[in-house]
Amino acid sequence: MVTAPRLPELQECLENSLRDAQGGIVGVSVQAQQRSGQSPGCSEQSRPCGVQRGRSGRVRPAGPGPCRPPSRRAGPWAERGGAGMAARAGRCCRAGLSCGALLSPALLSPAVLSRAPATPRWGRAAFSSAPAVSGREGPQAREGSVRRRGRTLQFVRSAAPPRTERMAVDQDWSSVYPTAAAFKPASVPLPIRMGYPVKGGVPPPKEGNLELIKIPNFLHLTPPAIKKHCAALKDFCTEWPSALDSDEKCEQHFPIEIETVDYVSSGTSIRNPKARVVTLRVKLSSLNLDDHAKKKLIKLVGERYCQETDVLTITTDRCPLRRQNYDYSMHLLTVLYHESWKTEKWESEKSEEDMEEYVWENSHSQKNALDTLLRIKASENVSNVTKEELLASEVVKNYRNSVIALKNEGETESNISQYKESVKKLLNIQA
Amino acid sequence: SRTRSGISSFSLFQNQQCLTPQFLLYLAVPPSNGAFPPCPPFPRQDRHSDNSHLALQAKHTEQHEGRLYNIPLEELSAVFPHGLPHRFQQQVLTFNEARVMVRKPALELLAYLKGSNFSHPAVRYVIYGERGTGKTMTLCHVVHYCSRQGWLVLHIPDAHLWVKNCKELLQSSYNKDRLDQPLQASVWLKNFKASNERFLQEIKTQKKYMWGKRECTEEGRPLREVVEQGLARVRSASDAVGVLLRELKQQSHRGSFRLLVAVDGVNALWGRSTLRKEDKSPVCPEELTLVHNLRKMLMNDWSGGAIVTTLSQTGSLFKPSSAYTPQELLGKEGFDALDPFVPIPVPNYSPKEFESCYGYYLERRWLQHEKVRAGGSGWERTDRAGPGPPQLPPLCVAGTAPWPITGSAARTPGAAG
Repeated sequence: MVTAPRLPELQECLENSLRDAQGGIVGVSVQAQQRSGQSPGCSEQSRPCGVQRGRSGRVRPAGPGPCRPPSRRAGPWAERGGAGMAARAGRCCRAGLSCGALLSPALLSPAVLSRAPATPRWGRAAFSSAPAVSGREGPQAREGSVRRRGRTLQFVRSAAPPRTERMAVDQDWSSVYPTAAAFKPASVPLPIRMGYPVKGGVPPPKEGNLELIKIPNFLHLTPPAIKKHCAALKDFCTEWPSALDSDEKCEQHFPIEIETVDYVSSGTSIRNPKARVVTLRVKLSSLNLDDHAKKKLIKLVGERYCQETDVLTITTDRCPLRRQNYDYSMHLLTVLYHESWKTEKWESEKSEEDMEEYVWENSHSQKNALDTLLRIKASENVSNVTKEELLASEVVKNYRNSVIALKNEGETESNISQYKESVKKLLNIQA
Repeated sequence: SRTRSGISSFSLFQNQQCLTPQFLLYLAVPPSNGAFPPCPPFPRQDRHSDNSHLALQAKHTEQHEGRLYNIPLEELSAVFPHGLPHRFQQQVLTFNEARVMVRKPALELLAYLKGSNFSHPAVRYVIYGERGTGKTMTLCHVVHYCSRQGWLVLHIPDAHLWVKNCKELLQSSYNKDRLDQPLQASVWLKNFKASNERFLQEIKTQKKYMWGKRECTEEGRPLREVVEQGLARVRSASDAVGVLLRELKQQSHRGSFRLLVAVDGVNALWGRSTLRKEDKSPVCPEELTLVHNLRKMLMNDWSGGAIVTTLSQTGSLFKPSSAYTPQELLGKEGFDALDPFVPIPVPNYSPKEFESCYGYYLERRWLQHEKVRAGGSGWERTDRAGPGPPQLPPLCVAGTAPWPITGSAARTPGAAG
């Protein structure tokens, strides 16, 4: 078992191998901070390295095949050429050198290694490489040439220009993306950038950008595409009734809205348990409810009622079938309506805390105001003033309105000053 | 913050967005080393209202708004044995005089008091406003006016002190369910006695009161005996306070004296308390004798006086620091108890008032500014036209070490006046 070489040893070996390199290996550079999409050379590779790497990630060499097991032969590395180097480097990787160096499979591939002028772009090399023999190998590898990699020959396809260059401006987009598909940078003629920008730089471009591929896109649902869908579905639809030409008329004639969802999936079964859910929406203003009934209904349904939109939403899913859930929701609505019209005996015990809004009648405020006014009248020796008279007087009405506004709407400057004026009038305070 | 003369601790300007009365009062705090010499008397200028004799104070009108009037120091200790804000007391010590600014809310209150009908039930006034805007000072102004006019002033300096931090709670002998607070009651009785000697001699009890098994106060004795009983026997101090309040309430309608009930921090009476009984259960405020009696006093079932109260969030318990409106601080119970009341808002300093206060501190040579030495007003203001908060340049107090500003002044008070 050959022990894992130490870095200087490796470096030494590399330098030794330079002289005898046949596969065009000039060295191994370590990526400090890598973005595989950056180098244009990389994108033209036959094997795009689309993996974002962090500093400490262990990288399994994916490019030129699995890392070859360490060679037992202890001969000079020069004979092995690139493969030996790759193997050795791979072994270092597997042995887990603590220097944290990343030996990129991309770099292991001879194609990149031969492109020594690109080395500075890959970050500072921990293992310094002499770019001496770079030049002659570079241009050769770019064209569709036969490259020697170990004992096998590989054909490098020449990269064709992307399809976007041949797209007309007025093309039919729905034929480019007829269905939901992943983002294909060569098919989308938009200069999109996405991702976290390099320091002082810009977000990475779309080529080989995994962020763009990962996210869902709606390129297949542009308005013209949807128009086509509607045109195709039209054959299966009936005419909209001409009398229902406005939202208000729809509300008036059909106050209840039923919402159900159908699910389609590519699988062996057409059943989906979520399809049984039925949502019923109705506006309370379209139901015949008086004040007490409306308050009682709102208390009964609790959270299902929205104050702002005056909409009651009942969602049922307790039955296994959609029709059953629909029947149940209609039954619920009926029961709520009838129950809210009834008045139970215990409803007379409704206290101040249960009230939805402030009611001035029979409140502390009314009591205090009346007591105060009676005392004022008594001090002026004006008797025979009844409560009803006091309640009907202008000042008390004013006071009542200001207190109701203060309690129901909260305290604002205008409310408080209105209350102040009304109290001054009530108590006859002059400045 | 800009630094000048090497004094770099004026972080108060980083936090302050606007200048409130309290903020300027903080500037008047003398440094902890106390090395500041007293200022010599300075010639009066037009910012000070003329109050060379008693009657003129009653004539404070709108034209006096923004001016500062002087309370002689002997009167100060007589009228305010307790009740002045702490910072103002320190300012009095520093400048050797008590100058109170005449402001609109106080003028409004005084106008109402002057015009009130004393045969009608007592009207309740509630002074409210954001923190540091001058509610307690307004109350003190009114208290001073009323005591000058010969009213009997029942001044409770801070009702919050009665619902928190009470070391001793005794079960009341009068009512088993209630709790007495002997220390708080005796302290208050002492101060009350100091400010209202004259009345305590004149007003007589109308009923016989038994203090325990042996001691009693006969009918027709001056109220001073009740107070002394409370002070001598601390256990019965709370009951003495209750008796006092009851007597005053019953006798005020006769007209021999006018009664002003001034309560600072009235929202404490209807809030929660942090006190606990011996079994660690929380105490409701109404279980405290003092609070119970004071609540009865604040009802408007008596006549011959007025009730002026202040809402206070500082010192309040379990109330958010942004609360300042009557309903927020009083709660439902308190609002229903005090309703109908006249709310009196106290805003921040208006530009005119601010100038007056600033000029006063400059005169007293408390605020030092380079440009003042050179002459001139010494202060360029960026925008003075609008009611926006003025941006004050850093000030340094000559020769004194900077002190750390702590407490509510470091926090930005609300909207500018």
